[in-house]
Amino acid sequence: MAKFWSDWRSRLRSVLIASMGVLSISGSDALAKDLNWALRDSPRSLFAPVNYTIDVMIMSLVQDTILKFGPDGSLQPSIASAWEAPDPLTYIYTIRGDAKFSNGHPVTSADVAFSLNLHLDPNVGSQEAALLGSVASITADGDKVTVKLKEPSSLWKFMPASIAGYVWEKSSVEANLANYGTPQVLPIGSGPYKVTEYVVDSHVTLERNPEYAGDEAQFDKITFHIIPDDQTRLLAMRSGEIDGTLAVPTTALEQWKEAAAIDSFSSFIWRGLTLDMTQAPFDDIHVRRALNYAVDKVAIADGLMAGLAVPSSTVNDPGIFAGVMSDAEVKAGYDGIASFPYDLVKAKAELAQSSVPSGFALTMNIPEDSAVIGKISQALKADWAKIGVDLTLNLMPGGPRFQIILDHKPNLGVQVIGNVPDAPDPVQMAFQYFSSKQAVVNGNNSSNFHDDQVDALLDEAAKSTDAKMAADLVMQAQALASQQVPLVSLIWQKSVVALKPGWTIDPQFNAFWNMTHWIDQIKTN
Amino acid sequence: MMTQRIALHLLRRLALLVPLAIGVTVVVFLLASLIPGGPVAALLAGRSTDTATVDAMRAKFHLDDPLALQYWFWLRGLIQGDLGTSIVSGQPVTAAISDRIGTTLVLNLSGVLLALVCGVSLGMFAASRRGSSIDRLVVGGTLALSSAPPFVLAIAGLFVLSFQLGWFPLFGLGNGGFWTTAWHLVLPAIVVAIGPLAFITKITRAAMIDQLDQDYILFLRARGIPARQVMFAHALRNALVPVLTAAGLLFVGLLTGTVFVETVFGLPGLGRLLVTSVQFNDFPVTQGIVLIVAAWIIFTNLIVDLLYAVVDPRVDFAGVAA
Repeated sequence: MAKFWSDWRSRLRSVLIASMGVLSISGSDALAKDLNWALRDSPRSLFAPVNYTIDVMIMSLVQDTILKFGPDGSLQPSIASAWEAPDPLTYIYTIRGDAKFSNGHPVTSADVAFSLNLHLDPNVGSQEAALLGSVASITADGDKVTVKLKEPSSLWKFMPASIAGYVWEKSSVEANLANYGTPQVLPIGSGPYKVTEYVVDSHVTLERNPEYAGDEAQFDKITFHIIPDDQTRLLAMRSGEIDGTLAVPTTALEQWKEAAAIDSFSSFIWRGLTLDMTQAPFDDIHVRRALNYAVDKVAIADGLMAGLAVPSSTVNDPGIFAGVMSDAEVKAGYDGIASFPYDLVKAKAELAQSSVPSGFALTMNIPEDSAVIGKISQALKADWAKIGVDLTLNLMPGGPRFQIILDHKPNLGVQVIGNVPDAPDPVQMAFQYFSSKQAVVNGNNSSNFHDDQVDALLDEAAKSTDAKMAADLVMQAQALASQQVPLVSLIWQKSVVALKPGWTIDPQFNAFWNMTHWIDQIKTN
Repeated sequence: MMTQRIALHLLRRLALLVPLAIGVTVVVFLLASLIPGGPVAALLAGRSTDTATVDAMRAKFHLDDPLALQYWFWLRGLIQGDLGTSIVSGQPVTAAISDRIGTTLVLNLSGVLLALVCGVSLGMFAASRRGSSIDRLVVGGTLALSSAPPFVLAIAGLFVLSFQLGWFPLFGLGNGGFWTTAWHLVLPAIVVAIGPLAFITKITRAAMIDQLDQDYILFLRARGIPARQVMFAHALRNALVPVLTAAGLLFVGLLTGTVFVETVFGLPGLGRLLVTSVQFNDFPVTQGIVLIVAAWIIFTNLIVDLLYAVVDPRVDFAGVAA
C-alpha cells in the first residue's frame, strides 16, 4: 500500500513539474539520477547470438565490446587495450587485465575468445555468423586472443567493435546457453550498467555496475519502457514520464516538436529499390532510367520524411567515408555517380525508347509493419503513374517478404530495400548490392547486377586491409555500377531523437552511436 | 440421479478436451508451415546473411525435418509436460506464457465482470422502464459507446483521464506491488468493459422484458409481493440463462481478445505475445497459447453448462444419460 502511495505521489510530482514547464532537471537530484527512455518494440532476447532483435542501444551499456568505435568511426581500445595485425590473415588482441563482469569475475582472454566463437558454433546458430564469415579460428593464450582469417577481409577489423564483439562471460553462458538472455537468465556484462529487471513487452531496467572500472555514467538507473503505441508514447513524453525516445514517427513530427526537443543525426540507413536486370522489362536500361527519372526523391526526403532524409544516389551514405577520405575526395567520388533528378520529360523520353513505350504494370511487395515504406510506396505509385507505369502494392509480413529475396528465384522484379551497414566499412553495403557473388540464394543483390569490372574492384576492396585503399576501390565500383542503373536509390535516412525540453545530444552522436556508451552523449543541461 | 448425470456430462466433456486440443494444434501447425521461410527470415529482419548462417539456423530449429517429425517432437515434449522453447527468445514457452497470463486474466476478468455488473444493471433498469425515454437513452447510450473501436476509446480515455486529469497512469504496470499494478489496470479494464456493454445490456433487457410479461409475474404482483423481490428473486433469475450464455461467450474470448488495449496501454499480455509469435512464426509459442486457449474455451463452456443447472433447475442434462 505504501508503494502505491509513493508511486502515486511521484507520478503527481512529475505531472506537476511537467505542467509548470520546469525545463531543467538540475534542481532535483532525485530526477537527475534516473532516466526513463521509451522504446517502440520490445527486445525479444538480450543475448545477441540468439537474436538480432536485442536492442543494441540497451546492450551496449551492459556488454562492453572488444574494441569500440570513436566519434569518427575509428577503432579505439575497450576490453582489448591493444591490437595488431602482423599479417593480413592474423589479428592479435591484448586483453586488459582490470575489466570485470558485474558479478565481480575478471574478463579474461578466454571469455573474449569464447564470445567470438559463439558465432561460429553451429549449435548456437548465431544470426550474426555471416559477419564472421572470413574467420578461420579464434584462440586465447595468456592475455592474447588471436584471430586467424581464411582470406584477407576489410570488414573483420571492425567486428570486435560491432554487435559480434560483445564480450559474454564464458562460465555463465555455458551454464545456461539455451535460456541465456531471457527474463529467467539475465545476461552478465562488463559495461557501465547491469540488467536488473527484464519483462518482455514491458520494460528493461539497468542499474550501475559497481564493478565497472571506467568513468561513472551519469544516471544511476535507466528504465527502458516498451510503449508500442505512438499516441501513448507522445502523451508519456508530454507528461514528462519519459525523458527521451528514438521512436518518433515522422508522420507526427510537428506534434512531437511541441512536446520535446527534437534532434536528428546521420544513421547511414539506405532506402531504395532493386530492379531485377535479368527480367523484362527491367532488363532494358531505358526502363530503369525512366523509373529513376520519374521519382521525385526531393519530395520524398523533404516532404514525406519531413527533412529527416536526403536524396540518395547509391547505397553508401557519403558520411561512411569520412574517417578515411577528405570532404573533397568524397564529393569527387559522388560526383562520378550517375544521378537522376526528377524530370518527367526525360522519364517519358527514356520510356519511349524502351521495349514498353506505352508503359507497363508491376507489383511490388511491401512490409505491412513499416509506415515509412508505406508512405514512400504510395509516392512511387503516384509518380510512376505519370509515365504510364501502373504500380500495385502488395502488403506482406516482413519475414515472408524477405524470404523471397533470400530464395533468389528468377524474376525478383522490384524489391524495396532498407539496410544499414554493421560497421563504418563502405565495402559491406557496396558488396551486398553490386557484387555478383551476392546475386545468389541468401544473397542481397536482388538486382542480379553483374559486371566483371565492378566485381574485380569489390573483391579487391573486400580483401584490402588498407582502409583508404578499400574506400577508393568502393568509390570506383559504385560509380561504375551506377552507369548501368541497377537501383532506384531513394534516400539516406536520418535517425530522430526526442528529448526532454532543454536536453541535447552531443554533436558527435553518429551512425554507430548505439554501439557506444551513448548515454554519456546526452546533455541534460 | 441428477448428480450422476452431471458427473457423466462432465466426464464426457473433459474426455473431448484431449482430441479437440490436439486437433486445433495440428491445424495451427499446418497453417504456420504454409508461411514461406518460417522464422529464419523474420529473425534476420532484412539483414545481410549467408547460406551457412541460414542453414545453421534452420538446423537449430529443426526446420529441415519433415513436418510430421517436427510436430511429433513438439507433441513428445508436451506429453512430458514441456511446451518447448521460443525460437525468437530462447525462453521456455511455459515461462513466456506464465509471465503474462496473470496480467491478461486480471485485466480481462475485471473488464468482463464490470461489463456484466453494469450491463445487467442497466438492462434491468431499462426493462423496468420499457418504452420510456430513459429506456431509449440507456440502449442508445450503451450502443454508441460499444460501437467505438476499443483503441479509439483507449486513446480518448488516456488523453482525458490520464493525461489531462491525471487520474490514471499512462502506460505499463508500474514498478511492482499489488496495488500499483491494480491501479494501472483500472482504465484498461474500463475500456475492455465498454466493448460488450451494449451486448449484455440488450440481452438482459430483452430477457427481462420477456419474463416481466409472463403470467407468473402478474400473479406475484397481484399477491402484493414487493416489486424489488419480483424483479430480483423471480424475473432476474429466470432471465439469467441467456445472460449466462452471453457471459460465457465473453469469457471464452478472455485470453487473447484484447490486443489493442494491451498495445495502447503498453501492457505485457498474452494477446501481444500471440501477435508477436505469429509475426515471427515462432510456432512453439503460438502452439502453446493455442493449446491453453483451447483448454480455456472447453472449461469455460463446461462451467457455463453447470451454471445453467444452478440457475434453472429444469436443466438436468437428461440427454446425457440417454
